[in-house]
Amino acid sequence: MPHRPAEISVSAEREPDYEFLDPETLRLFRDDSGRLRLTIQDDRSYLDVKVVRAFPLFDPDHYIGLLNGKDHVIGIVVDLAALDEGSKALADESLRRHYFTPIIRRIRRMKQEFGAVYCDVDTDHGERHFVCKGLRDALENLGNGELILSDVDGNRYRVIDWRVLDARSRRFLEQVV
Amino acid sequence: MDITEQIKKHLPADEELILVTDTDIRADGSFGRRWLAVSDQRLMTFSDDGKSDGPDTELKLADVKRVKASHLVGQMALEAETDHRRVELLRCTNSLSHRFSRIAKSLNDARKNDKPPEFDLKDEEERHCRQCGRLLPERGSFCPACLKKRKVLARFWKYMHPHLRQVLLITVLIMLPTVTGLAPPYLTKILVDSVLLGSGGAGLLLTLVGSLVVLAAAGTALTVWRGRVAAWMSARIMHAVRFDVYQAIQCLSLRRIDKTQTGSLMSRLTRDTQMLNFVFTDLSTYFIPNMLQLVGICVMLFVLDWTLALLVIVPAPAVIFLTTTVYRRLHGLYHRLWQRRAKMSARATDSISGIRVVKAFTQEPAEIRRFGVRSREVGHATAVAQSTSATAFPIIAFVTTLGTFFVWYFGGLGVMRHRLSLGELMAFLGYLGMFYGPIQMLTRFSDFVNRAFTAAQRLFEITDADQEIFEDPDAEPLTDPRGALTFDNVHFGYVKDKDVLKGLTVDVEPGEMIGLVGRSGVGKTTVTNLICRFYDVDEGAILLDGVDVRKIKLRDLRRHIGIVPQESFLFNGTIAANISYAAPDATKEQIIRAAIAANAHGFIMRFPDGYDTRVGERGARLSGGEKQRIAIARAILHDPKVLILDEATSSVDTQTEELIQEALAHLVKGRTTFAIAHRLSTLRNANRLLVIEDGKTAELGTHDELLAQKGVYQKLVEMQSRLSAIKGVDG
Repeated sequence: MPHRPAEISVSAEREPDYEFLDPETLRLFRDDSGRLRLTIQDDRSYLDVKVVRAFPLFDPDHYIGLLNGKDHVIGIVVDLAALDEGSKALADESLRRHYFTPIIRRIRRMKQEFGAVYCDVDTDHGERHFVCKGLRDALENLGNGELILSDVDGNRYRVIDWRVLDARSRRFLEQVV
Repeated sequence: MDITEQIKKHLPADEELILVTDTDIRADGSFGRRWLAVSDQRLMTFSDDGKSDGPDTELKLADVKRVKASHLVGQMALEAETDHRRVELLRCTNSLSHRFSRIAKSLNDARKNDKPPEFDLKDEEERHCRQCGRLLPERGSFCPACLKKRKVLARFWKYMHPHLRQVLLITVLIMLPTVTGLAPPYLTKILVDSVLLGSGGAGLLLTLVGSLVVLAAAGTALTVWRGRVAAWMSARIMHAVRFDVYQAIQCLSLRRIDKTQTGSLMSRLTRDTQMLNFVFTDLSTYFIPNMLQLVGICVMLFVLDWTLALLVIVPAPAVIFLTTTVYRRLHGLYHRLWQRRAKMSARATDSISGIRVVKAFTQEPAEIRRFGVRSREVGHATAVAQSTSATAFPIIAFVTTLGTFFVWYFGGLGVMRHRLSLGELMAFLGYLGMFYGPIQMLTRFSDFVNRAFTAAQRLFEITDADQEIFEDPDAEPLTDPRGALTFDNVHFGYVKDKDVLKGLTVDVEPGEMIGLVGRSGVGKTTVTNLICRFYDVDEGAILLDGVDVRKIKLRDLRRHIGIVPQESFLFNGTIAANISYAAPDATKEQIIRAAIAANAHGFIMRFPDGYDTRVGERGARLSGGEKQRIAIARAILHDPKVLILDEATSSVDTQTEELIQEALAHLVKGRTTFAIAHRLSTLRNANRLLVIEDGKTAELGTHDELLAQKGVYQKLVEMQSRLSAIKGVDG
């Protein structure tokens, strides 16, 4: 029988920093200086808040962490959809800014030479030319056709589902996936 | 008009433009150019190559309190803070993050010193190849594309030329069997026409059959000879390649090794060299002979009967087309199979080497299931690949024989109408049988060359691309250092986005023992990695006796640095061999003295085999404390000037710890020592403690001084004493 993982409860007393936050009590807004602020209803308020993903690759839409100005964890929101509209918009905007992962729509050219792979692609952020060092190391297959490509500078590009790209793009990827 | 001119139009005449540089993300977040301009008065950004009406953002330098380069994921944002606002100036991808971090730093320095900013971006490393403009796989390194053209053949040549005589011999041995192979069908023709149907008589029959035997024997002998020469030659060449690759692997930079799986390095060493071997032997034993034969056969076919020869050629395009398609498809299938197989064995290696953890958490069923999935995938890929080839090859073979039917029919007609002799027809069929094999070979030519190149590609990638941290050509030898170490504003990160050290500065006296203290992940081990130059600093410098470690010959530097690592790694061999690993010439007496100083002599002597005890793979037959003391003995024998102790006593009982502490006390005497320990009590011998926080020196001083400061260290000590109080109750 496989073991069931233990229910891990994080008591607010000992580790107040790692709570799962109740989205109902949260409000995000911009203060006068343009910084993101978070208030937790009837409790506390944080300046200069950062919004980050706990699972940026495998579950980017859930388990969203909130960090304070010193990068310490305030808490985690399981699903942003439960926030009020204004807060959600700000959280989404903040995520978009924090994670720059252009989505590859088309591969114009992908040429493998001596371990280096030169790519010419169309992304949702426009055309881009980049080089990866060895596809085996640069390509991460997330399953269900989803891929992450990292170039030599550490920039990342996402392919949502390589199986539905156009034939030419597919041909470039078929060999390596 | 160039961009600088455009921007100058927006400036008052008396303002000096100091910097104009471009980023690769536009204001709307898309890829494209955008400009940052800095004058002695203000900061500005421009879109549209500066042609627009004015800057997108404009800030007076006097208002800017601080410029911050925020590392995000996949990009960086340059932000300016004024008294009451934070303005995002621009964003750039990670490709340019280095440039803008430096710009931010220059701006902040200028503000601090109250001077107009100065920028020095000249030494920014090249991103494009100077020759072909291609992006470089690594900044400032070589361009693989340009290297390829110039060097690959030269590289093959490098391995071939020591065996020039064999190469020539093989070439001759390739030619001769071609001739001996082409003759028999022609002799058959004479045999049929002149002897069987004609009047040549038994004498001619004997001569012809004799010739056939001699030719067959000679052909066999030559083929055997060729095969043997080729085998020896390719074995020697492969040894040379393998040796070079292994040498290169040993010299790989740790940055690269961190990124590569051990298995993939192993497969380059074994699999790719094997592939190259196939190419060498295939090329000389099958490929070239077949090509020569093909040419010969074509000539013979047309000489015998050109109309029939044309008929033979008819199915040839079909054969070529089929073979090409099939091979392309098969190549893909086999490549997939190979990748899955690699994945499967990686899975198995991983869980078998961690079998203790697997069993402890009773995850055997899960591991078995995971392996099952991989294995089934491999099975599926194998079945698809093999059934495809099982289908394709008989069909190709059938299409190939079509030519024979044409020849039988039209040749038969020719013989009946006496346009062709029976002997000619026999010879024709003989040549035909030899014709299609080489044709199929020919269609595989590109595949063949590709295989050679990919294998070579991977191998040369290792031998060329990733040589360890560059050694300065003017690096100085180092003899007898005093052991003074200085960290001067050291910045470093394992990945580009995340600096671990952010300006660490510290001076260490010769012979001083420094205890490194800080939360885990704060960069204590990083500090020691940088001292050994396992990695190079990104900014700042580390000086040994006032000399930048990058200017010291790497061998010399490491000769004078010793490590007792957290996990004492012992090689599979005897205890004596492990102690003398760094000093193979050490005498038995020196080994014993080192072991005595390391408090290891006692337990070693209790082993039945004493110093000749085999330690097993990774020292598996010894306890943690024993391994550690052997590692200490190894360091003592190495006799370094600078010593690194990484949590050397974290995993042993109190009594063993005493023994180890004593051993360490012997070891650190007279050496500059960096010691990392979680338990602060183990640092009691340290002269000074260096508390690292946020990548910088937070506190530096003796135990008592730091306690008096009531800062980070005092808190850590308090926490630890609380912990050990709990332990005391438990224990």
